[in-house]
Amino acid sequence: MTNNQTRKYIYIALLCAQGIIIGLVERAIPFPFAVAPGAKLGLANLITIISLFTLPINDCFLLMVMRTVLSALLGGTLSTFMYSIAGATLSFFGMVLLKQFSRRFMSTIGISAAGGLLFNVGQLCVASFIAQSWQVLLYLPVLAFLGILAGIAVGVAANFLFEHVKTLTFLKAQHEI
Amino acid sequence: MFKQIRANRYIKMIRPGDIIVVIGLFILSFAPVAVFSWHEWQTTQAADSNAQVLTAYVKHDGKTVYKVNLTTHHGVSHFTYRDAGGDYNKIKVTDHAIEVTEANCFNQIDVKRGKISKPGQTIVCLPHKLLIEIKAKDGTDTGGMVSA
Repeated sequence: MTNNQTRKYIYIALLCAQGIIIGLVERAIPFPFAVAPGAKLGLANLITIISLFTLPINDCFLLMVMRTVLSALLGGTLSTFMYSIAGATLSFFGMVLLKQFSRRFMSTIGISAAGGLLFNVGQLCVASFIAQSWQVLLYLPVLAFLGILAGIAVGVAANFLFEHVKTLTFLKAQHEI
Repeated sequence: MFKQIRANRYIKMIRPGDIIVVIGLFILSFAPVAVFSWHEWQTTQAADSNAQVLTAYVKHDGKTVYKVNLTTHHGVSHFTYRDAGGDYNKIKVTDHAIEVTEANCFNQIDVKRGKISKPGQTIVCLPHKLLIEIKAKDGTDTGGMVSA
């Protein structure tokens, strides 16, 4: 029992560390699309997807919050933290809902594309709240287009990971039982 | 052959739900635009039904020298502003629009401005200190907020 608990916490900590590193590395990539300032690839979403398929929901939520807070502390400002916590929470609940509703119907691609879009929606909601103007939401199509594309890429990557990393395949099977 | 097998595996990874969700998300991302344009359309409809009353004011140095109700105006009417120094601006009102047709100021900016007919638009002739502006008053508004 205690062994299992410890194993789970180590797993969460590992995922969290990986997510933060992915986020920091992603920040170092100069974004080629100058048309959409504020657009991010959202590669760290990969970690959230993996956790959704291998951990209970409350642990996933803990992981998501820890990851957001720590990456804000390691290389962000208060405003980026506000944007990312809103986006991450919204996309997390969206992905949980989609995953519950579609057992065999869709793969990780659809789920992570939805996550990418909802992240942008959350971000823009905070932005429009700060700017006190709903006009900011008109920016959504540009951002959402890139967000969905990045989400599809992340979904493909997650599919490959679940197929080829033996530990993840095992953990996913164990979670589904 | 080998490549084809790999491509097949790649395509097999995509489930029908993915395609539906991605297309749905793309459509959904345009929802704010749709809502905004619908809202704008609705407000313009409401403004039309309120029957705005537009009044054009011709002012010299802040004092109104001529005013005309553009909403009820029909046909063509002329007004010429002249001051003691010989400066003049010939103003023509055609139905719901007002314009300066002729002036003896040096830059002719007022003449080049052309017709105006919407609330908030102005024609300015700075050399003559002349200002033509259109103000809107809602049909429902009975207060004397518009200073003549």
